[in-house]
Formats: sequence, C-alpha cells, structure tokens
Amino acid sequence: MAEPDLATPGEGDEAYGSRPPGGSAPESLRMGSLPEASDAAVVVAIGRFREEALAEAYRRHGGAVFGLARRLLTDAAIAEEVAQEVFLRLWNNPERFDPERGSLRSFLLAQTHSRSVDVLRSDRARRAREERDLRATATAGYDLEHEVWDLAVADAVREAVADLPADERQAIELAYFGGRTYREVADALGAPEGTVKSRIRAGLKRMREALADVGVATGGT
Amino acid sequence: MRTMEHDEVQELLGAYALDAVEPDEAASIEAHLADCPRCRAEVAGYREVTGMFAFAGQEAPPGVWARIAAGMHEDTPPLRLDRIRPGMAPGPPGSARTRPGAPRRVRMARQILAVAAAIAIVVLAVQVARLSGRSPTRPHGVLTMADVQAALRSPGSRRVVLLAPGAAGRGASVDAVVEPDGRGYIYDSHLVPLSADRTYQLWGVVGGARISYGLLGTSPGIVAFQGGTGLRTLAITDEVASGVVTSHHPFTVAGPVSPPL
Repeated sequence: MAEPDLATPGEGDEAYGSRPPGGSAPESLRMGSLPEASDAAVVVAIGRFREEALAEAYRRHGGAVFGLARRLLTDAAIAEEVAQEVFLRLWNNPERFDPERGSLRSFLLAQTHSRSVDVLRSDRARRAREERDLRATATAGYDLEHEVWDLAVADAVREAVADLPADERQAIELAYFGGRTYREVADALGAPEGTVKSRIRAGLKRMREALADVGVATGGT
Repeated sequence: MRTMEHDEVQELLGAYALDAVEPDEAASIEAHLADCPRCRAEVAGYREVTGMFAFAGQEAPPGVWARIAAGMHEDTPPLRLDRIRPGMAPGPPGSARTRPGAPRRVRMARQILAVAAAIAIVVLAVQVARLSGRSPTRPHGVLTMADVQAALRSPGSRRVVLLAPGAAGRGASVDAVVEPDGRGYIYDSHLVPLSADRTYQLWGVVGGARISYGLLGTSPGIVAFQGGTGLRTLAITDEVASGVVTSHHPFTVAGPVSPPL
C-alpha cells in the first residue's frame, strides 16, 4: 500500500512543486501536510528538529501512551511524567526508532510500559498492597477486550482475544496490566513458573497469528 | 549475568515482551537478542500485539504537550522518576500548572523558559518594527506584536513555521500563529521583497483545496487572516499585484497547522 509522505503533494495540489526524479523517499522532505505523512516520515522530520513533527507524533500516539501509563500507574500526575519522558526521548533520540522493526505506536508503547513497570516496582508498598488484592482479582478474570480501542483493528483484536484460552488470557492480563513478573503471576495463581511462561508465550503467539490471518500487521510496517 | 541458551531464552520471550521478567533475566535475554535476529523478530511481533491492547482511542492530553514543548527547549536530561514520590497530590490530566513538590530542576527550567520567551518577543518586536515601514494590506488599524503575542498565549493556538521546500538554509521563512477559531497572524517574514507589479498571497489548504486568505504586499509585516475548520497548511505564493483567484504556482513557503483546525 503506497503511503503518502511529506514528499508527495496533497490531492488538488497538482501544481505544487515538482517531484524529484526517481520517486520520493521519506528523506526527501518537502512541505506538505504532516497529518498525512507516514510515522516514519514524521520521525525523520523530528530528526531535523521540526517541532511540529513531534507535535504530530504526540497527536497520533499521545493518547495511547498516556492511557497505558495511566492504566498501570493510576496516579495521573506520574502517568503524565512518563508520557512526557517517552516523547522527549523520541525528540532527543529519533534514530532509535527503526520502521523496519515495528510500528511507531508499539515502539512508544513498549517504552511507556517498561517505564511504568519500573515505577510500579520501585514502590514496594504499592506492590504489597496489590499482592493482597491479587487473590480477589485473579480468579475473576480481568476483561482484556475492554482495553481495546483502536477502531481500525478493534473487531479483529477483540475476536482474537475472545478466542484465547482463559488461562492464556489471564496470564497476559496479570503480567501486562499488572506490571508483574511471570514469577509473581505464578505465585498469585499458585501455578508453576514454567506453566505461566508458556501460557504467556502461547497466548501472544496465538494472537499474533490470528491477527496476521485477518491482515493486521504484527511485524514491522 | 548468566549466559542463557537459545531454548531457555525462547521460553522467556513472551514474558520479556510484557516486561515480566526479572532484571537479571532481562540482561541475559538482551545479550542473546543482540545476536539472534529470530528471537528479535519474535519479540517485535509480540510488542505489536500488545500495542493493539492499549487505548488507541483516547485524545492526547494537551497539558502534557505543554510540558513536552517546554522540555524540547531545555538541555536538561529527562526527569528521573525515582525522585517522584507516588501519592503526591495529582493535578487533573491536562493541568499545566506547577505541581507542589515538582523537582527544583523543573521550576528553574520554567523560569528560564519564561525569560527566554520574553527576550524572544523583544527581538521579534525589533524585527517587526523594521518591517512595519512597508505597507501591510490590512487597511484598518495597525497590528502590533502585542496582537501576535496575545494570540501566541491563547490556549489552543498553533504556531506555524512556513519554510521553503528544501527547508533550512534557504533563508526564506515566515512565522504564523493560528487560534482555534481560525483567526491568525503572520508576523516574522523573511521573504525576498517583490517588485511593485507583484504581491505575495496567503493561502490556506483545506482538504486539498487552496483558499485565498488575502494579499500580503511586496514585503509582508504583521498581517491578520481568518482561517476556517479543516485548515491543515498555510502557504504563500508570488503572484501579480492584483492577486489571483486560483494559483498554480509552487509555494514560496509553506508550513503545517498541527493539529489541523
């Protein structure tokens, strides 16, 4: 699928400039509409110190970044700090994002998750509290499908989640949204560590394959 | 750090992708990943999956953007979260006021930013004073940097930098500000002055169509314009003195309105 990038004039702008011969790569940035540019082109623009490019990246992904941090940390102020740090990292080190390796969304969310988990784990009092509450929630089965909001893929993802065996889904939920290690999940469930490890891996594999089957990209752009 | 065999690492890749391993395990896994493209690809695939779990429908909170923007202009390293105590009184999401107990570095940085902004405004005022000898096209009233500053300060206003295609180094640039209701100003113009039979003309790109926002004269000073919903790009072209209804000229300078109106 051909993506518009900053080098391609918008529709109706036939007279706008001239195309460089041989087609245009994201590097040949010319004035165009940022909102229509690919994530990769936006990051290249960030690399050229274009502040509005970071604003565009924030517009696209800030909600997801903040939302995930908020969900893990509950404290909105700290979630804001995490979101700020993730985007400032993108501003200072845009070269760390490799579009061949995955989407900008997953790149930013991986950092958000990792940072949030650091905060969670540094607060032992909070963790002890969670362990006490864990018994109550572990068997109830947190509803993963209600976390999915992306309208473009929502149906496919919800279906993939619904098709997960309950134990795989539970292991993923407790680890990902609880910020727990697989050992802590095993402790809470009273299950062997090896079992939890393989449930997590099997569940993620299953979802990746289900999403690939319906054409949702799960590996690189 | 213990070296892990490939099989042992593989069993942990799912948990690793969820940040659900111990720090020493993470170190061993990362050492293996450095040399194993297959495992790297497996982790990347899992991260794409988790990327879809998360809250894509939410709006990015604007208060956080104000802090990111402030951070972009500082040389300070990112905030250290271990210095922030959980349980401090939080502001509502989107709040831009200084939290009590904010690290000292943040308070100082904000003061520095305020001083820098004040200096920048003085510099702009001097530059515009030189330009205001030329005739702005607005027949009524004299626009000043006070009008522009008020717009820059108003919540939700977007700063737009119009540059020549091929960007930095060409020298041609124009600064603009657009408020959420579409009212805007161009103000700091660095354009080649035109001969008397030509004029610069301002355009808004709305849904791919160019809408004229008026004539700017041969050497624009501060000029007000009125944009509308859907404005994504501001652009300036070089036209005959009477202006044109539609232009087929390439943009002299252009810049995105982000987010669009």
